[in-house]
Amino acid sequence: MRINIKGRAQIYFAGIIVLFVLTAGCGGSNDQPATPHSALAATSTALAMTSTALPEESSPTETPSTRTIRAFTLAASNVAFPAMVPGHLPVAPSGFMHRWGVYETAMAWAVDKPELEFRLITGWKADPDGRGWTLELKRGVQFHGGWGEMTADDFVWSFEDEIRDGSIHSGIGLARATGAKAEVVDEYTVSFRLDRSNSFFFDAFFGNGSGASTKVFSKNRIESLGIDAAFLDLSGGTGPFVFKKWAQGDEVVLEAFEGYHSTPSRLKSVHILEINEPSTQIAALKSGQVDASLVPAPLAEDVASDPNLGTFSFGIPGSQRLYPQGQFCMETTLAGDPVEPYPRPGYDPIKPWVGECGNPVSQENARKVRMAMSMAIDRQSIVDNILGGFGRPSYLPEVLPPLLDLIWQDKWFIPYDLDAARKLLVEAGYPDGFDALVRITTGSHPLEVEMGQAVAQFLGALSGDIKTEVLTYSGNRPSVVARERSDLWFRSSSAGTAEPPELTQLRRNPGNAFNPGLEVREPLDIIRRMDSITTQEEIDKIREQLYDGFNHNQWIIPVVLADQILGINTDRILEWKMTTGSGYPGDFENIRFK
Amino acid sequence: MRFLLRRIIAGIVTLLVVTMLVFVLSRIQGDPRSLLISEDATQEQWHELGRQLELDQPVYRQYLRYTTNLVQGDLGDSTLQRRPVVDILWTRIPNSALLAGTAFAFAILVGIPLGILSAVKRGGFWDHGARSFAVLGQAMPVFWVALILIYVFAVRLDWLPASRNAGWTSVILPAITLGWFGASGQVRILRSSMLDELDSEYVRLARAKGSSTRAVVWKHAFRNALLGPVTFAALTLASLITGSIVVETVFSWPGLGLLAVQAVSNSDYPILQGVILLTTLVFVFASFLADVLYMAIDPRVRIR
Repeated sequence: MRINIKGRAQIYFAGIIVLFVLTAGCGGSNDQPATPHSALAATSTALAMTSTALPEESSPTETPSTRTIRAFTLAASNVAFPAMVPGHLPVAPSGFMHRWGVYETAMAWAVDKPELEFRLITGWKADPDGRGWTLELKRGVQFHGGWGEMTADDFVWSFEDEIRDGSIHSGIGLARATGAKAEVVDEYTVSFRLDRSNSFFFDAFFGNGSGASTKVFSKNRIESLGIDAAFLDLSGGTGPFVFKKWAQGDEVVLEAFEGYHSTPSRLKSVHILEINEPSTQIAALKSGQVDASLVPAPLAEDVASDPNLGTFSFGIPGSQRLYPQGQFCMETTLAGDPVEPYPRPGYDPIKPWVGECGNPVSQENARKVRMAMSMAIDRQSIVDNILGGFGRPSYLPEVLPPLLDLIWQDKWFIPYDLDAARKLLVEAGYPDGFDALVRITTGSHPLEVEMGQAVAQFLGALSGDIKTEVLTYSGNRPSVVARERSDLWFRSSSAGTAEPPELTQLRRNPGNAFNPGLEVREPLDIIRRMDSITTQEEIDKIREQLYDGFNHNQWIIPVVLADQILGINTDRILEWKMTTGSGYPGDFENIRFK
Repeated sequence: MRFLLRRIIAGIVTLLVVTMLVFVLSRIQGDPRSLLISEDATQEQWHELGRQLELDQPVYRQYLRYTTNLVQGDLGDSTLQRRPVVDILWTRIPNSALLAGTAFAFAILVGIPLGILSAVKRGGFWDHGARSFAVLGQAMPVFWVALILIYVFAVRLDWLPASRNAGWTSVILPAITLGWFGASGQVRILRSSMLDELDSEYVRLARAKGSSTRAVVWKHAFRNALLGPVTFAALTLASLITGSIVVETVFSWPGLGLLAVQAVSNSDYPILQGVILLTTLVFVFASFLADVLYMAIDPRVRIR
């Protein structure tokens, strides 16, 4: 056989030449003007993409087959396998399930407003002593896969699975501390009783649609298939979408559930494509391979400047904060057990922001140092110059919208005032400032290093020699778990979940496995006072005291809330109304195509 | 045969050492609970997780159990997915094999002809072109090549998908990115070997006897120049299968490389251990294959 080397080689080489010519001609910047960003208030993430009148609301006579328009594709990163879907395991990834409309909770945040609305229930009432609730379940709620109608048995089973022996579900501590018990009253009525009052038990398990809230599974299905088999194929929920496929690290496919008990999805299916490289995500969006994509903040301007694409903020922003670590001043846990070891390895009273436990003068000086550090940070500058406007300054620690919007008060505003901050340092006995290390952990937000270094620079302008160290979150975590740190930890998160703020603070109990360097009794004591009250007014009053305490003491120094950003193809998508509830994109049933 | 036997024993020893290293390194990381435990967890949950992960057992028992399971082909369960690691690896192997196979084909189909052309047309257009191709392929960072290819062929021209395995067209860009380095190596090694052979006396003799250029190139020079490229090809194939972490990450190609990256970010050490062991196995096998090919190509090796 004759081989025409010359001819073949010419073809190969011509291809290479073409590649280089194209490459040379295609680089460079995009000179188109950037469109204004929408630093949307995080209470609602609904955004109409055009000014066109919205399509009419769905009518009850509309059938799923007339409504399903097409498949929808979303590029997302780090879509972890929901091995933790079963209620008895930790719940973080099951936030995906909820946001994606596979599993549902009793209530969830409404679209467009920071209010809870009923999902699996039609109403509830509290017992007169505030230690119990009765939930009326919605009738006609069908489980995926033909496993029948949801009844009180399913609800109770799902709750009990979360708190059974061996469970590592995040709500178990709360459930056990309150002696919570669930009971089937009748087929569509469930009651819960606590041994001791707890004002946020209801919020945690039924109210907010994230975190510890009970997601309802089909008891019948689990008993028929066995618990492992039942959970491994990921079906058995009640939401508008059914799992079709989950290829870890590759793709998740959801299909519309035609038997959905409320307004069914307009989409035939949803394909969530795992693309972890930010540039590739944006390339997939620009090339039309996907309809929407998560957009890392550094690339938001590039996406917004594309005439066929749009960006908007969604969900709950990530909280960026500075932990003045080493505040280990609790000798006993909330339950009264001795803290071991005590003092903690990271307790260092020499650190200006820690002070000497039990010494009021030293503690007041440490408070002034923390307040000085907080006042030295120009939060708005970080939002404008690093986040490109996709965020807002934060003045309360780890309280995230929509709860933040409900409780925010002007008195908690912390001004950027370097002179006042220096004055506080002088009063605290540090006229020449102090040296410190800011440890910045990575792996949560694409701009965390830039933000952390900005914070360090602001502190440097206030004080002495401020060094920075960058470390992965996982690399840092063991020393945090061991309570060994006493430096300043700048910690990021890309997204938050809406949960009662008291739950977050309760994790500062020294009895917990994890603590970011803050074991201080005062906020915990305030929270515990909530146990014995029942009215919303009293709860609000105590919450105000709690945040007065955080604001005054700066046990944690809040920095900014960084928005989650979505890029969408505006040629295709008319509107995507998204509820709050967590930082994951979801509510696909609310997408409207052009 | 003794030569091959020595290689087999060396391979087994390598595997044993790697299993030990993998086990020790994963323990040096510290208590895996400090990475896995939820921030909401109580001390009670901490102990429960330790029991589930069998961390309450002495280390030597953990190692014994690990190796016993390994011999039985059990690499343990993923801490995140709660599924056998072997099953997870099997979902990725076909993708990695497809990518590596295509990239290898690209490396061979481009590298060998260009290497030969470059040597035969020494100093000419093809030689300069091939050398430029080789220098660029070895000098340009892989991630940059990947991004440029995505930008040109997916975003600008819209000819090919930007990422993932969504049909046969998806493999083209990652395969070119991955295979370019190997092709460049082939060009350089083959060009060098071919030049040596073409300058040798037996080739001159063949020319003097009136053999055609085709016969001289293919029958005499090419055959004798193959030893270096074959070794390189075998090791290239192994590295294509196992070393495609950057390419798979940029293209979100669901292969072993991406699996390793995901395992690291999820602190899923059983999967990481599985990928490392598989990687070692592939390298050991590739080295063995190269030795066998040596024997086939060069009779002197058989005599040794």
